[in-house]
This record gives sequence, C-alpha cells and structure tokens, in this order.
Amino acid sequence: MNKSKSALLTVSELSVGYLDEKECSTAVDNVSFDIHSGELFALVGESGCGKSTLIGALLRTLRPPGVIIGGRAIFGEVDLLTAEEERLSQLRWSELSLVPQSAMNALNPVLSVYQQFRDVLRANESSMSASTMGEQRLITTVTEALELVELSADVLNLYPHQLSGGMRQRVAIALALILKPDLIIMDEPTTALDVIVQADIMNMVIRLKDLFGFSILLITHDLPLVLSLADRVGVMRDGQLLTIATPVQLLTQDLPPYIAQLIEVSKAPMRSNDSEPSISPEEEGRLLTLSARGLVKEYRQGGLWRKKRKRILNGVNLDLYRGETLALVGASGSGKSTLARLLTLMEAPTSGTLSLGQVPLNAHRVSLSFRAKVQMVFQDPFGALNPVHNIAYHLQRPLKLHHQLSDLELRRRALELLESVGLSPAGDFIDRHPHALSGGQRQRVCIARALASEPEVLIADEPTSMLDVSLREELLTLLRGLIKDRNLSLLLITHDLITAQALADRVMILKEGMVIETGSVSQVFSAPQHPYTQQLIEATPRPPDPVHLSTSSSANTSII
Amino acid sequence: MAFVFKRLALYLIALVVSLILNFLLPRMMPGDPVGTMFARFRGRLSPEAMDALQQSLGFTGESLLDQFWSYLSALSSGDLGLSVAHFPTPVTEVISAGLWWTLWLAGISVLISFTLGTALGIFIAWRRGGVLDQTLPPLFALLGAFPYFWLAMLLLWVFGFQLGWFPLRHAYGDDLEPGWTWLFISDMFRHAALPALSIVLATLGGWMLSMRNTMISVLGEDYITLAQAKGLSSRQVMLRYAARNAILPNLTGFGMAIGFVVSGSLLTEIVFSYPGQGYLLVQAVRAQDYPLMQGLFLTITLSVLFANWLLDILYAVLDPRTRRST
Repeated sequence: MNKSKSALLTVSELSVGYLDEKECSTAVDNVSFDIHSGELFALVGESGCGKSTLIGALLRTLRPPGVIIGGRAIFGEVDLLTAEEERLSQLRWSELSLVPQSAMNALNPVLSVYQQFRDVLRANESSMSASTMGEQRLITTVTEALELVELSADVLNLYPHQLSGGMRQRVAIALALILKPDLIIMDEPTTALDVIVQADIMNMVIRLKDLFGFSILLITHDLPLVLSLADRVGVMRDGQLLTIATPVQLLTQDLPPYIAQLIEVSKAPMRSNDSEPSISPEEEGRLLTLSARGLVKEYRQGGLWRKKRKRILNGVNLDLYRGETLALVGASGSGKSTLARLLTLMEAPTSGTLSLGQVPLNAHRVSLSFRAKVQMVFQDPFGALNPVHNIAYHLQRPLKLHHQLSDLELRRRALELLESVGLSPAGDFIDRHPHALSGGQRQRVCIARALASEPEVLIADEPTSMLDVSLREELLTLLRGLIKDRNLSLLLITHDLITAQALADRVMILKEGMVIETGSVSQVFSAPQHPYTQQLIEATPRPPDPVHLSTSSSANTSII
Repeated sequence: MAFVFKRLALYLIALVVSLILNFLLPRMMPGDPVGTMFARFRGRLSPEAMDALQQSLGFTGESLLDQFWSYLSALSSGDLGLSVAHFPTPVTEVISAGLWWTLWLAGISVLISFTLGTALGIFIAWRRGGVLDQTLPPLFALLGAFPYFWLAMLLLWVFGFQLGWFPLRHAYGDDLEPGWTWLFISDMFRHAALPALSIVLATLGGWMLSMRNTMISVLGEDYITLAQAKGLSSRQVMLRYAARNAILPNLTGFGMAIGFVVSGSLLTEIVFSYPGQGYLLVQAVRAQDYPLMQGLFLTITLSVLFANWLLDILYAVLDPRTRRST
C-alpha cells in the first residue's frame, strides 16, 4: 500500500479513437497527466469530451470500434495499454478498481449482493495471501467492507432491484474497496443521485481515502463538486486536456475563456435584487394567475385483485402571480413533474381545485383558451420536437391553432419568434429539421414554440438539466429577458438550487408530495426554516471561496 | 413458494377457459356438423356405436349446462369418449399412443434447437463481427424462411430416398417389437433423426438471432464493464454476467414456441408418416372424428399451459426481479 511519493499512474500522450468505415475519429487526443498516491485527481468536462473513452482505455475495457492509437499509461511498472491480458487480470481490482457511471446499472441484476462480492474475491484469490477462503471468512470480509460504506450485513442476500440508488452506489464503492486497491477510478459516481445523497457519499469517499490512502481518479461534469474536493483538476474539452491545476489556481488565476466560463456558471450568480427588502407578491398587489388548492394525486398500483394506492401529491397549495418566477425545487420522486402535469391539465387531480385568474378549471373539459394561456417547456429538447417536421412546422402549428393567420403572416410570426429566442438570423433556422440543431438551439425552439400562443404562464420542467453547463447560463439569461419583456409568469421546476437561485423570485420546496417551505429566494436561501431545506442547501456543491481555501485565517465567510 | 401457487391459480383460470371453449366449439359450429356426421355413418355403424357416439359427444338433449357438467365429470374420470375412426377405442387410448411420439420428437428437436441456437447466439455476440457472426445469421435466416414441411420433404428426398441413410417413414421399424432394448431405442433415434433435423434447421436461426441481439445490448451494460474490470475470467463474464441476463427474453419465447412446435410438427409428422399428435389430428379431421379432435385440442392446450407454468417457475429462479411482483 505504501508507495513512494512518486507518481502512481503516469499517462503520457494517450490518444484513443473510434474506427469508422474508412477513417478514425479521435476521441481522446494526446492526453498526459499523472496521479500521485493518496491524491484525488479529477477530470472535468462536458458530455462528449472523451472522459469515459479515456477510462475505457485505461481499464482496457474499450469495445470495438474503439481503439487505442498511441501513448503510454504506466501503473507501477506496467504499461496498462500494452500489458498482456494475464498481467492485466492480476492488476485488475487488486490494485486498480472502478466505480462505474450509473449506480443503477453497476450491479448484475440477477445476482445477490453477496454473490457479486464472492465472484471478485474468488477471481482474485491467487493475488491474495490466503490461498482459498472458507465461506465463513468470505462473509466476514464482505460484511466488513459493507460496514465501511455504512451498510448493514442485511443487504448481503438482497438483489440490486431491492436497493435504493444511494445503497447501490455504496455497494459499488464497497466492491471497489474490497481488495484495498491503490487506485480507484470513479466515473460520475453520483450523477444519478439526489444532492443530499451525493454529499453523503462523497464525504464518505473522502473519509475512506484518508483512512486507506488510496488514490482516486474522479471523472465528472460537476465542477463545483470537484472544486471543493479534489487535490488537482484536469479540464477536458473535445478530447484534449486543456489544463491541470489545483482548485485554488482555477479560482484565482487567469484562465482560458472556456474554463473561466465554466467556473463562472457554477458559482451562485449575484442578483441585483438580493439586497431589496423582500415583499410578498400579495402585498405588492399583483394579480394572481394560476392557483391550486389542496391538490392530491394518487396512482393505483398492483395486480388484478389487490390494488395499492400510491400518493404522489399530498395537498399542495400553489399561487403563481403575474410576472413572477416561482421555482419549484425537489428531489427526484418528490412529485414535481406530477404537479406540472396537473397544472397543465394533462391529468386530473384525485382531489383539489385549480383556477386560472378567477376561472375554475376542469381537467376533463379543457378550453382552447386555457391551452393558449398556459404553455410548457419540456426537459428533454431531443424528445420534445418531432424529428420528421421542420422548425417552421413546429412554430406554425400553435400559431395556426390559436390565431387565424394567413400563410404569409404565419411565416413572418414564426421568424419573429425565432429572433426573440436569439436564433438569428431566423431565416437560417426556420427550414431546418431538429436533428440539424444543437441541444441548446433545440431548447430555444421549444421555448419559441411555447411562446407562439402568447401565454400568460410558462411551465418549464428542468429546462436546462439536459444541457451542458456552458449553455445553461445563456438559456437562463434568455428566459429572464423573456419574462420581463412579456410580463410572463414562470413556474420553474428544478432539482438544482443554483438554477432556482439564478432565476426565481420565490421558491417552493417540495418533499414527498408536500410543500415544506415557501418564501422569497433571499429568505429561503439565507434563512431556511425547514431542516430538509437546510440539508438541501448545505449539500449543493458550490465552488469554495478562494480566499477561504488558501488562507484559513481570513474571516471572510461566504453567505449563500 | 407463494409465487408458485399464485401462478398456478392463474393457469387454473386459463385451464377453465380452455375447457369451456373446447366444450362449446363443436356446439357452435354452423350447419350442425353432428347431424351430417350421423347421416354419413348411418347404416355403416351399428346402432350401439351411434348411441355411444352421441353419448360421447354429450348430445343427449339435456340443457347446455347439464351437458357441460356431464362433460366435466366424464373428463375428471379421464373419459374423453370413444373415437369414431378407431371405434370402439377410447379417445384417451388413441391419444396416449400418439402423445409419447410427439413429446419425443418435438421435445428433442425443440431442446436441441433452443440450446444450440442460444449457445451459438452467446458465442457470436461475444465474438461480434467475427467470421461466424458474419455467416451464421444470414444462413439460418435463409433456412428459417422455408416452411417446416418443405425442408422436411427436401431432407426426406435427399437423405432418405436418394442416399438411403435414414428410414422413410414411421417412428420405428415395422419388424421391431417396442421395448427398452438397445435395438429398439437406436431405431427410434434413426427414425427421429430426419424429422427432428428439419424442425431444428427451421427454428434454430430464430433462437440464435434473438439471443445474439439481447446479448449484444446486455454487453453494453455497465455491470459487464465492471465484471471485466473486476478481473473475472472471460468465461465467467460471458456466461454468468452477460448470458445469464440475456437468456431471460429467450426463455419467454421458449414457452410460447412449445405451442407452435406441437402444431408445427404436424406437417413434419405427415411428411414422415410419424404416428404423433399431428398425424392423429389429420386422421381425425379426415374421418370427421370429433371426439378425437376435441381430445387432441385439449391435450395440446394442456401441454402448452403446463410447459408455460414450468417456465414461469424457472424464470422466477433465474430472475429475482420477477419473484415479488404479481
């Protein structure tokens, strides 16, 4: 375990590509870095930057058509890229292990937790001191490993589908730890998890790293998380490693614009009205648009005979005022999307009432004027536009439905809409099909489509979560401008507190189908009342204050 | 264990439905088939036989419900009536003579086809893009495109008639006495070879392709990468991690295929004059032997239900996710 202070893994000039019919596209381009023992080295980059391909090359699990083009990866005395299969299998897991990307698919669904551990231990028996372990010793070893990740021995005989996402990720980490390797590669280990679970797990990983002294290669797109945890950070883009620096350097130094932008976006944006005394909208005398009282939604589950009712929403009250942005924040499964479906009258509530202005709403009889006034922007811009139609069709469809316009007028309005969402010159975009647009551009088209009927209320379900970080800020700025210009009410559904803070006037925190806290952004973020809100704010990764990081003597405390 | 009984309850419902259908179908046929049948046999059958026939079909002038009741009570004592074509042999006797031959022929051919096809599918998916992966799927797709009986006739003509390697008809040599003797069993294999081969050739490609496709999508899962990184042997990754998961959809198909094979082997049995269920069914249809037809439908339904129930249990053993639900 105790190695010299020299580098544990040295990657030099590594290039990996994917073979096409004729040519070879490069996914990892001439990347060099090293990892010292006991270090947490993070590789950060947006989707498609080559992070996962890099791991595939290091572990030699790359599947055709992926090929290693060149370079070296010296681990101990072995070059991982050229080592014989036999030598490699000696290294695998006992010295180099992996926590794979999504906790959900990391475990074989048909084997119990214990069987998956036993396979590893049996496969690597030769590399361990004990020749053959008895069944009893195996169980003890596995139980000990599970204790490290704070799981009880009860999970031994459970199958993956019986564990929660967080538990599965803990099992995956315990599995990576069981042979006490020198290096653990973690590929987006917490992406699929809620912020609170993510914070728990990352803290546990750091504690274990300090306890056992292994090194971590952490692959992630989450820059704030990395800035607070990593020893050194490498930033990747388009297969190239742009820079390697410590978090302090990243936060204080002059950096290439791309990295500077990434860091800027991840900081909680400063807002001009933060200092203003918060007035509740009622006091301001604003007009109420969409409002809900005592919304309950239950779904039926189960087979023919025994039906179980599952309550997703449990008495939600909501008021959306003219011109305000209300952020609805909650973890996955808290009922956010169900609430959106009820508010847009796509489903009827089990009980409770809805009204728009003074008009009561009925989900079984929806008027066209309601559809015009309340529009929705969806989470996935790739799924929200039918790929067989061009942009002109997508924009003209609602225009035709809600306004009687001539063909010439339709096209003019569609062009206007595109300009208004920043797709300029609109003539370049209007005749394209969705596949010819980037994710960010598609989401702009979706927003333009929602604006076509001139709505009062816009409901946006995680509008930025599928987009890369560098695009998020642009889109949020666009939304902010549109709300102001058109006096729109926006209900922003998100799990991301930073997005909520950047855009919203008021925040509602949803947990297990109930609203547990409502208030202005400044109230909720500076003085959260409910313990869950406090936990949520604490768990949200933010880049640490560089002054605070470098000199602990500074009394400069950052209040979020 | 509760799971097994729950499934059993579901299958009992299916059984009741099939019994009702089996009872109603001859009664729902247009143009009174029974009357025409009696007309055909008048004068050729003895009055006792006519009476027995009417009795066995349950046409006794009672109400439908009473008829159904007597049908059920006869069934529970294993009485399916008397066959018309083989009068006065009971239907159960006629069927049981054919049933074992069908079980033997369809059984071995489906088993061989499924195991071999699945194994090939695992292998060519593992060596994706290899020589076998490039050649086997199109070859078997071509073979699968021919109807069973066409392949059967081709095989019969080449290997039976031209080359004379295998017997042309029947399940065993006419000069042999059935019994557990070496001579008889080897003769059974020789007689089953061609019909079984024709079924295997026609169906193997399907198993292979579906296994290959699921296997390839399973190989893309994270737990496969993890299993490799864990240092497990290729064999273990291929079988215990990939194939173990990929075989589940194939098993579902297996259960459904049993029904198809019993009816599909019908034509094969005719080509080879193999005395199984299919052969009997054709005879029954030709002779308008309704009691025999009813009995055959019932045994086919029962065997499919039973096979599916067994597979459900096997499925639960292999896939822990199905154990809780339903």
